Amino acid sequence: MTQPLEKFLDDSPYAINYGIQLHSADPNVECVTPWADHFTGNPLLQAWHGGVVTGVLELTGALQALTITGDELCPLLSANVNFLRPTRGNQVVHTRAYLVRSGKQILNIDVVAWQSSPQNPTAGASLTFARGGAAQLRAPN
Amino acid sequence: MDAQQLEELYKLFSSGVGAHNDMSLRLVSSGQRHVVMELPFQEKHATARLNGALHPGVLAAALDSACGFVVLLSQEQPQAIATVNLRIDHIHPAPAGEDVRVEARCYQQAGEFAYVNAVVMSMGEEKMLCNAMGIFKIGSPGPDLGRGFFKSELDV
Repeated sequence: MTQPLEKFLDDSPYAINYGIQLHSADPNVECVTPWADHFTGNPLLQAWHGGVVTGVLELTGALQALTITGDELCPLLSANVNFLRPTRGNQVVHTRAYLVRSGKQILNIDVVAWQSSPQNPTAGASLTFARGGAAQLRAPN
Repeated sequence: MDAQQLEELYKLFSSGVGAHNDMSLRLVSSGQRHVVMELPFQEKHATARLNGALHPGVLAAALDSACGFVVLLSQEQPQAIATVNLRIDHIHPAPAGEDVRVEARCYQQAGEFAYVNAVVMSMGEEKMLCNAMGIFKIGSPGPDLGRGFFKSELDV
């Protein structure tokens, strides 16, 4: 189950740069991302950059999409990210994806990020992915 | 604010911000309520090793930074800011191996909240790659990044 997901991460320079690690994928994808200095958004607060948190949420959602579609890559159409509290530096970030709906052309996936406890999330995202014919309609690069 | 002051403010904004250094985000131009930046292609931010394009995640990070900087620019007094919400539509994938341009505009401020829209454009074809809307809290807890470098102190 996790092998195609590990390969997806290994093949992505972006994922490698962020050091995101797959923790589990049955049925919800869970990832752990260790802190790195190049995640710093506010050096005085030692907080994660919001865009980096967004990237980790998106990668976790993309992995969840792969558990549904197999090896079919699903382009991300939209991300709506709420920042709920500061994501502290020098601490790992845990992320967990939830499949909201799997349609023939659209996948809706929510992802939550936390540090100390899942009951205290630091950010959450609602992601929309295209699949099937809808994905084909997107112009290649 | 002249070009040199603007450059100094941007340096201060980016100083010690590892994510900015990682992206090598460049300030191109700005006004009181808008900024233009360029995000260079780097293989470490690519979707794939071969014919990779800038990943949606790094576009999100560049959008967040550009939006934050334009909110900072639009303030009369030093204020810490924090992203509350960021919504991004990924309209087209970034062209493989190419830099992109990020434009952000602070279009409204109401009380403690600033509202920003932003786009990511391709450099060559002028194609809109992303459209984003952000909400930022002004005066959030914690120290501001533009301390001692605001319009009121620069007499502009």
